[in-house]
Amino acid sequence: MNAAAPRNSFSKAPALSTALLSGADAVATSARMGSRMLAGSSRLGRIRDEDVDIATTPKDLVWSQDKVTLHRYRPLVPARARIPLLVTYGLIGRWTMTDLQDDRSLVRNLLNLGVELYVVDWGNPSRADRYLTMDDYICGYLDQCVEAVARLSGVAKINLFGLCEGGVFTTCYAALEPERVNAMALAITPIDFHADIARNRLGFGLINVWTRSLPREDVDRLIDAHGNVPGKFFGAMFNQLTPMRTALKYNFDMLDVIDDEHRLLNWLRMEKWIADRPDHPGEAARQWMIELYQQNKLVRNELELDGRRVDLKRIIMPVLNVFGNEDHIIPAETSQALGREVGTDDYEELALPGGHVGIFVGGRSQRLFAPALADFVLRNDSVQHSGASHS
Amino acid sequence: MSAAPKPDNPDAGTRAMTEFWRAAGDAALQAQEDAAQAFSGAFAGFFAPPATASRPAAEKPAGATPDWNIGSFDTLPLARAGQAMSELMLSASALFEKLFTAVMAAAQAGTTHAEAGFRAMIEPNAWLTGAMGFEAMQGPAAYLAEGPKFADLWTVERRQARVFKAWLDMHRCRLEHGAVVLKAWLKAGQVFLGDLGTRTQADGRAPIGRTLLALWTEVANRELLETQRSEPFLRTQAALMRTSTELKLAQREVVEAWADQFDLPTRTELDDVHRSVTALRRELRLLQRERRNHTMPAVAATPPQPEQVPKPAAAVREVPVRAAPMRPSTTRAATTRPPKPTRVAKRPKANGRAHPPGHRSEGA
Repeated sequence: MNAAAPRNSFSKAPALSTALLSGADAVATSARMGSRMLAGSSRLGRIRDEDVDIATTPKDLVWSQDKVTLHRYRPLVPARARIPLLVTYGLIGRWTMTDLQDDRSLVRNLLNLGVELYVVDWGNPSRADRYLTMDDYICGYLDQCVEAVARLSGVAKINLFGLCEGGVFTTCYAALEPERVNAMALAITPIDFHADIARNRLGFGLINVWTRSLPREDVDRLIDAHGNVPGKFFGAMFNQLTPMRTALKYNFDMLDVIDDEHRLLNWLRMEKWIADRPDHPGEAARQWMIELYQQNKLVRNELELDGRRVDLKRIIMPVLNVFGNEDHIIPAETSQALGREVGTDDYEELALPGGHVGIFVGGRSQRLFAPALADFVLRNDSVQHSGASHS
Repeated sequence: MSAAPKPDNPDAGTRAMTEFWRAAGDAALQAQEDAAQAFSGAFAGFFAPPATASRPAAEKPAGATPDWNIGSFDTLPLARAGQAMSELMLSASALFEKLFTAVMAAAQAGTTHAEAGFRAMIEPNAWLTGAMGFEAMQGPAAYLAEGPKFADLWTVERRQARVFKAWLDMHRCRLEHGAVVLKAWLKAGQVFLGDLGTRTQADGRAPIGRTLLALWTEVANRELLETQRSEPFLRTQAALMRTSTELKLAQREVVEAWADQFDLPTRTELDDVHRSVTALRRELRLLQRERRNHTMPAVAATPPQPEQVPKPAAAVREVPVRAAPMRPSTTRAATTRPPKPTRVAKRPKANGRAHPPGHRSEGA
């Protein structure tokens, strides 16, 4: 193992200083800090939850079924691409990460570049949804969304953009229904769930290690007992990935921004996104943990949905695979495995600076991500891919 | 959390903190012993052979004697886990005393902010109790372990006894997992003290304030991450998750027996309904897809432009268009040239871009 573990905020501190503060300096520093904390506390007390607005880019509800909704974003500039892009996030977390704040919004950037955008929201699954499987989400809801987008946009096939678990859904869909997909983009998407073993980097892929270590009967029993996997369960798991960061968040990270309203609101927006963690339907979670994390069926072309085998070689449309170099939740190598498996030579990768969330909100990624994705969509806008025919 | 010592009296604070942790360690051990004894006493009657058991079978009314044989409460493992934890707590107290003394003077020279943060962060109990956000170290299993208590449902003693047995198992696993976490803290503390000494010797002065915290967090982060991948951590965390799951199931059994008595729907019954509904919807979906595959429409039209208010065409299940409040855009279009993604060389494919091998088989 090397020491390239996820760092905490203190890693950004200057090199260890050995300068001793004088008594007067210490008093002055303490006074300044006290003043900041007082002002910050006052500011925090004035902010209401509705002030912390996320996902504000205007959009319209165009389709829904059960708890799943499909929205179409209102164009901000004349469309440059004829074929729309459907954004699909996973069941762990929510798509709002792509539109967290006005000045750091992948969604806004794509709209401003003339891409027609739709987004699917899985809603808040309840215990009544515990028996929903990945088959239902991919072959059912996602399939319906694709059909709706195609109909509303007047095209036969559309572009897909899947993120994280939603990237796996997207990949499976593209493999099962290649004739309905014009081009596929993925971000932070695990394909080979065991690829972390070879690199074995400290702090990277802990979820992979942890899930593999669980006896299958424990996973079964967990889901039998809880029905759904609670969102807080995943939240605790993510916190465990960055233990010191979690410990320091409310002590230092917040204090660092508390005297600046703009930065404080942005920090609170991230908190709001983190807090919005829906429960994961139990049967889909069972597939996610056992068939993917433990048995690694996707990259082995052994996963079956609705009785159909997901063969990655059936992905014959152009593919753009985006990942974060410092992503400790979905290590880059687990994403890059896709390139070896798809059935097209039109495969591109984009490695962005940042981690799992950083590539969406980080300053450098903002300048790179949307332009690259829009360029990918535009380049593939006029090409009609034959796709596979139904047998 | 213990009260923070006043900055102007670090020695008194150190003593107070140390005494607190020693007391906490002793109290933890005593609590385990008391709990074990209490459970043994309370359930002695349940697990001793019932008086009726000695009667000839013919004298017993059919079904009158419940099956109490769910295994005896072996409290020894719990006591052992408690003992181990107590010993670790005492070691932690000693280490904490050293840490606190070593860094207090340096911290005093830094900011109050850093000093308070450091003091809180090196407290061993914070690693176990969830204070300071350290519930993350307990992880998902700790979250799952927090279930409702059913202390008053004594009419279903057999089920209740299972609940307590499950609770004992879960609590033992929690202690064992806590001991692994505490060991990580001890190691982090030792490594930190070593690093601190080395740096102080090299520079002639001890790091202060926030730089001191940077050193501590770097060391602690590394140790925690290594511990989380270790076999003992993974094994004890899995055991904690397993036993907390069993506790939840045992609790549900009690609740469902109670609900059944009053003709209330149970979780299991609701699950049965949901399973049926989901299966029916799935069948419907498969039928719809089969129908669609025979009538794939070809569509072509112009996508809506910005000045047009989008109006959805008829959908499978149409919903009213609900416009989100329009906000002024504050984001300008990204003007930088798009980066060139890496085009990855792939091994030659036998079929190239041709249609993939057909293997579609509609599932039932």
